[in-house]
Order: sequence, then C-alpha cells, then structure tokens
Amino acid sequence: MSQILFCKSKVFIHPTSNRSDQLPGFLLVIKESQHTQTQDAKLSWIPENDLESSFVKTLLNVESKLLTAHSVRSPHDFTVDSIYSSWSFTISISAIYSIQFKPPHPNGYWFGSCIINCKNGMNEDIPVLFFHDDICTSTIAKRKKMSKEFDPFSNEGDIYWGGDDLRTCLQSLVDLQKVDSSQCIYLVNASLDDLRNFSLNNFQRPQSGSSSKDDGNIWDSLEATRWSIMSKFADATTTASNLFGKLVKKHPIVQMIDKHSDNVYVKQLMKNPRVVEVQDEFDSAKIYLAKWAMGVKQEAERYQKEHYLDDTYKRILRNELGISNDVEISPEELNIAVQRSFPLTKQKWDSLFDSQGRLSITVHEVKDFIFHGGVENDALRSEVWLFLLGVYPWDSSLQERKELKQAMEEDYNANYKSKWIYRDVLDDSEEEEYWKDQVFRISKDVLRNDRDIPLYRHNTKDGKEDGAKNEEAPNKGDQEEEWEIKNPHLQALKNILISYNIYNPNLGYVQGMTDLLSLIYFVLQDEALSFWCFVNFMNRMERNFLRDQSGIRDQMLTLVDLCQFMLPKFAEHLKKCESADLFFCFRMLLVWFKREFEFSDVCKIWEIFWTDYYSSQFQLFFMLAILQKHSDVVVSQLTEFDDVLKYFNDLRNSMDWSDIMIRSELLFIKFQKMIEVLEREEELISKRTTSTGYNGHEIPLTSEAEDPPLHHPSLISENLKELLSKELVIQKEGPRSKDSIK
Amino acid sequence: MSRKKNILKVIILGDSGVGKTSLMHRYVNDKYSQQYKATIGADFLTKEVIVNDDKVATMQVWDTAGQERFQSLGVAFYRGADCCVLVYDVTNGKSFDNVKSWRDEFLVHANVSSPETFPFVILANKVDVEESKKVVSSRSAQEQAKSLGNVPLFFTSAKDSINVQDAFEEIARSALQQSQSDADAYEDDLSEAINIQLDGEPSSCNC
Repeated sequence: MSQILFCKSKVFIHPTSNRSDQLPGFLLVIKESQHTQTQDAKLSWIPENDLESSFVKTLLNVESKLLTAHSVRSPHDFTVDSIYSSWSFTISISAIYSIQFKPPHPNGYWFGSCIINCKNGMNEDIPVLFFHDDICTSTIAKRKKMSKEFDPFSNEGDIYWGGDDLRTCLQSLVDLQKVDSSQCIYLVNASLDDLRNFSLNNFQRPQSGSSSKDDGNIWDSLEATRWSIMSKFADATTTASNLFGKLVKKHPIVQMIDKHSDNVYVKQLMKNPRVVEVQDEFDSAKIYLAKWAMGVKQEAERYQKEHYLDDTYKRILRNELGISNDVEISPEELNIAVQRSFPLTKQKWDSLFDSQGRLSITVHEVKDFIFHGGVENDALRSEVWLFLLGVYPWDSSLQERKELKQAMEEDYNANYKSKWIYRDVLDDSEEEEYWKDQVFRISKDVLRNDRDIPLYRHNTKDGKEDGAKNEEAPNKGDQEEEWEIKNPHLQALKNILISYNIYNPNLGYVQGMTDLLSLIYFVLQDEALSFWCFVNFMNRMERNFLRDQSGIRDQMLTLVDLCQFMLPKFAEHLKKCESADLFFCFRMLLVWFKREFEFSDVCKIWEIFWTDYYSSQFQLFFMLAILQKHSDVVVSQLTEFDDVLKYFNDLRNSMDWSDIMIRSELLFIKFQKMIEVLEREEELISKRTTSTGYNGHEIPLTSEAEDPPLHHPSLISENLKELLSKELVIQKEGPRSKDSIK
Repeated sequence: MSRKKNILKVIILGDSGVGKTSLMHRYVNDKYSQQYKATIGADFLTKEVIVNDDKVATMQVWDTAGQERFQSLGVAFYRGADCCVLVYDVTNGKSFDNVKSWRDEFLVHANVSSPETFPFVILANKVDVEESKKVVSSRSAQEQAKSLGNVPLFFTSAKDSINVQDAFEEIARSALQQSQSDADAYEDDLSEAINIQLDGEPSSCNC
C-alpha cells in the first residue's frame, strides 16, 4: 500500500504568460510501500482537470490530514500512473539534482515557485511549479496557525510559503543542502565535489575593497531577504500611523542598520502613509518586530562568520602554518580544509546505498564526507562506525550485514563471554591469581570511567538516579557504590573488557583501554557489537599498550622527527627545556586525546582518524597541530620541563577541536609536499652523481654535487616516510610469561 | 641542570587504584571526588608550604600512573625528586606487598645521590572503610615500614580527610631536608655556606 507523504493543492504550472492558460494541480510525494527506501519516493504533479471531482475531494482530504500526520495511506483506487495528461509528471526524488525554491514577492507581484533540475538532463519535462498560496487550503491553514503563535517565519527564518512544506518533506527523505543563500538553490544527495564547487563560487569575494564597502555588501544581501519581510508586514497592516514608524525607528537594530546604510526600505517604511490601524495590533507588531530583528542579527553574524571571518581565519592559517612560496598550499586545498559544513546526514547516508543495501559510491568518497564534515549525530554514528571500524565490510549487502550481526552476537556470547562466566578455578594458582587480578583491575577502572556522562553516572540497576538513596542510610549507599558495579552500562563495559582478555590473552588489560571502549559503547549501546568494534579498534591501538612500551615509544620518536621537520624552532626550544622526548604528549597519544576533549568532540575526532583518509597515523598530525598552535607561547614563555608538561596537561578541555583538525590537515598537506620536494632533490642528486663518473657504482654518502641541496636527504627518516601510508601499523604483544610485567 | 631551588619535588607511587590522585587532590585542594579517572602519564599540582614554622617553599606533588608497564617511559620526571611517597590500599594486600618494589623501582630510576638516606614516606590509604574490608594489619604495616629503614608511616583516608595534612607536613619536612643536603653537597666546595633561598624572594643564584 503506497503512502502519501506530501500533498499540496493549487500548485500551478504556467504554460504561457497568459493568465487563462495557468493550470492548477496537486503536487504529491508518494512512497510505494512502507518497506521501500525513502530514497525511492516519487514526486508527482497532476492537473486538477484530469481528476474526477471525487478524487479532487479525496486529495483535499489527504492534504488537510497531512497538516498533522506524517503520512497518509493513499486511497486504494488511486494510482498516479493511471493518470495521463500532457503536463503531468512523475519523477523519483533521488533523480533530482537541484531544486530552487523562489519565495513569493512580498507584495504579491509574483508567486512562489520551484524550479526542479534532474540529474540526467530531462529538465524540459518538468515545468516550473507555482504555489498559489492565497487559494491553497493547507497553506492558508498553516499560515493562520503560525500567526496565532506569532511565528510567521518558517524554519529558515523567512516568511512561510507553500514551497516550504515541500522542502521540509524532501528534507526528511533525502539529503538537501543549501548551496547558494541568495538564490535558494538546494542540491539533492549531492557529491562533495558539487557541494564544494557551489559553495566555493558563492563564497568568492573580490579581494580588494575597503571595510566600509564590505559592510555595505552584508547589508545589501540582507536587504533582499529581510527588508522584504519588513515591508510585507507594513503592507499587511495596510494602515497609516506615525506610531509604527516611530516604533521601527526606535528599535536598536534598526538604528544600527540606519547607521550602516541609507536604506531605502527604512525610509519608505517611515513614510508609509498606511500605518494607522496598527494600534489595534500593537503588541503583535512588537513581537513580530523583535523576532524579525533577532533574525537579522543572526543572519548578519552568520554572514560575517562565513564570509568575512572565514577570510581572516584563512589568513591566520596561512601565516601561522608558514604556507609560503616554498611549499604552496592552493586556495582549493585551504578551502577544502576550512570548509567543514556538510556533515554526513542520515538521508545522505541512505542515498549512498543501492536497493540491495550495497554501497554505490567509492569508499574514498564516503570517507571524504566523514573526514571533512563528520557524522551528523550519534544515531547515525552507531551505523557508520560499524563500517569505519571494519565490523561490516564496505561492500556488504543489507542481508549480509543482518546475518553477520547475528553471527557475531552468537560468537561473542558462545566463544568469549561464556568462557569466563562459566569458568572453572584454574589448577595453576599463579594463573588463577593473574586472572583475578585482571578482573579486579578492570572493575576498578570501569567504576571510575566517565562517570560524568549521564549513561554511566548512576550506579543503580537501571542506570537512573536512585531517589531513595539520599534519604535513607546515605553511608551505606555510598559504600556499596564504591565496590559493586550495578549500572548496566558499566557492567557491559566490564563484560566486554573481560571478554577481550579471553580474546587477546597476551595483552591482558591495560589502563587506558576502558577509555577507548567507553566511547564506542556509548555510541552503539550494544554489548556484542561494541565488543567487535573494540576488537578491531584495539587491533590498531594494541601498539600503544605493549609491555615494553615500544609501540608508543615508536610513535613518540616519529613525532620527534615530525616536529623537527615541520617545527624546527619549536623542537630546538624543547631541547632547552629537557622536553625533546615529547613525554608530555604521552597521555594525548595513548588514548587518542580522549582526556583532552569533551566526549562529543572525541567522537568527531576519532571517526576522522578511523578514515585513514590521508594517513593511518593521522593522530600524529593532530598532535603536531596542537604543538604548532601553542609553539609561539611555549617558545616565548616556558623554559622548564615541568612547566612544559603542565602547560600541555592543562590544555585539557580548552581546545577547539575543529581548529586543530583544520590545522592537522594543512600540516599533512604541507608535510606531503615537503617530502615530495626533498625526494625529487634526492633523485636529482643521485642522477647527477651517477652521470658524472659513479655510473654503476655505489653512490657515496657525501654528495659531490656542486650545489648541495637545501635540506639534507637524510632528514626524511623511515618513520616520516611511513606517515604517508594509509596501511595500519600493527604491533602485537608477544606471549605472556609468569613474570611478565603487568 | 637548571633546577629551581625553592621547589620541593615529591613523587607519589603505588599500585593503580590505591588513591594517589585522590591524596594529591585532598592535600592540595582539600577536595575529594569519586570521578577521578585512572591517571595516564604524569601530572603535578603545586602548593605553597611553610616548613618548620618559618620556611616558605613550593611543593610540587607528582601523580603517576599505577600500572607497572607505564613506568618505563615515565621515569623522566623522577629526576630531582626530594621525597618519594609510597601508597598502598589497606583493602588490597597486593598493593601492600608491592610497596617495596615501588621503592626499589624509584631508586633505580631516580639516580639519587645517596639511596640509603633518601626520604620515603608510606601512606596506608582508605582507612575509612569498614573493618571487615581491611586486609592489611597495622602491625604488619609497621613492620614493613621498619624493615624499609624506619620509613615514616601514616594511616590516611583521602575520602574522609584523615591524616592527609599531617602526612604531607612530614613529607614536606623530609623533602626540605633532602633538598638542603643535596644543595650542601653541591656547594660543599664553596668556602662560604650559602643558605638556600626558601622564602620566595627573587633568588640570587643564576639558574
């Protein structure tokens, strides 16, 4: 049974400029059945003339029902396909490339309209749709309701019109991204390249020009969208009084605007002779005006941030990261790094899969989305992370994933969890001791893990606050809280960590592993799936926890090289502070900045690391970016080992992760280019030396070339070269013996 | 090595979960929370102290990770320590047994001038818990303290703030003494005995 998700009457097409030729019709969004993907919904327009009067009635009924309902089952004898006329059309919404929503003219000079462009150049088939709001029952009803609630603006901040309803409906089905604020163009399930191209063109501004001119630009663009609202309001009241004029003029925002530009609309508004009866609606006018003013303010701020400050920020980055002529980072690269406003939405994610539930774009493209925009929310995260952590193969189908999920659940319970739940006491007393010690350590760390997060906060059976506890026997309650895990989510963490001990007996439990698991479980909230995600995450992170610390040491040595290579002055200063070993980075590296940022920020950081988009060791560039960001302060202010350590430890909860991530990306690009340049030089030298007599022989270490290279090739250590690889660096713990270090 | 002379450096060691972080916070900020996470790496807090009623110094209390394997990387901050605090949990027999190995571990890595006289203080923490949960008797604690060279021993609770101030006053005294004897050794060959600067005034030494 198909579902009607959207129905709007009095949507016209205007085949000619002649008013009598205008055809009214119904605009519908229909989904075949509940089970078909939302992406497969279809958009149809049917002229009223082609419908029997009973159908018109039915559809009007559907239209009014949809004012409150999310969807309505379509009448059983109704199919769009059976209706044919020369103007009707039906398209799959995923076949739409872009939609331009043009709001109606505030004075009613034109109707609001939609221009739909399709992906495969079938544009001629789709006429422009005009929303005759003044005679459309659902639009009128909604407008009435809104004016009662004093909320005349749609969610975009503009005056509500019929097209808004279509946009809202489509937004729930597909990924709709606004790419051009003045033209109101939206792209449907757009590729990141398209989004970038559109926004790039949009954001480009002339480089020259005084600041006062810039201000003018801001207000010019605001003028079109906002002042129209104001004049609309004045017109709507169709009254004349100086009171309203004064009211407008007295408003602080209007005064501010007045200072900025001689706006014709303000003047017109003041002179408007028709503002008399407004006294009746004085109060509503005030609220109206306040909301409008707030809208203007927000818009102005947003505009500044996107257009003006964005440029400032880019300038800062160029200066601070030393982007010079030596190693050029192109404006495109800079823009891609800075522009992070297109997150992976649920709609977008769904659109990436075909009818079998198989990914229909390349993994690289998906990762590009995640790397540069992140995942929109935790609900979607719980799906995406299974792919990112390799629990679900990228090329699997929906059915395969279902089976996999079930198999993994069984595997976890049968082969890991029940192994320790139903275990016998070991004959070897030392081994028994070891096991008990492991469980003890795990319990201890789980109990003190992220207790500030609501999910883990209350140690009660249902994980909720125990109201009775405070009243009776508080001491006893406290005591028990300390020793016993009751919160089901903390219990799940413990179960997973003990099971992991069975899975990887060589490594055992090491402090910090709870931190790694905590976030995964928080997002998934499924014990078995979290276990497998954790197993795969640990595959990459095991090197951080080895008994001899070789894995974490390797990373710190690589970081030392990287720091030397990219921030030589800073590295030099650290030597003077006895901090050249970068020990103060230990905590950040060990648990991937989990202790330095808010929980929600760590989710965003980790999913970016997991993409391996540039490097499988991107965490080192993130670390480098933190060092870079603070290098000036450290060099000018700090001279002692303990001061440096304290300074970096105290950065906890004070860093803007997004700024650091942008810097990380740019630092990587710069690094990559520097390596390329050096390798080319190296090659050149070796060629030159071989052609001048060393042909076929070993090249001497000291080059006899006339112009020695600026940098010595040996600067590129193996560690540094490895940073360009996307292959995971895996280091496993060896077998455990009785006297192995804990 | 440029060492700031008016700083008393104190290192807290002990098994994980015995309450090192809590003791540090109780002493420095007089606060307690059950939300302290397992310490990763190392961190320190500082506190102004008055020792022997007249000398002002800054005590730097270093908190460390308890798991053994993390020690190998984290020994850099042992250098220049003036006192080492060994902590165990009275409800955890193993943590008590390990006190000696923490001491040995420290002496191996800290490179102190005279290991025999270097000051340690032992804290038996969590004495607030009910008696039935305690597994280390005060007698065996005293025996151990004695066998380790008459190390001062305090029964503390970071949670209920029992004995923490007293213990750290002793720690400060030992640290100061150690710091002075180190300084004396360093400046032995100077004809004039120089009193080290402890009152927080700008120091005359060129460090």
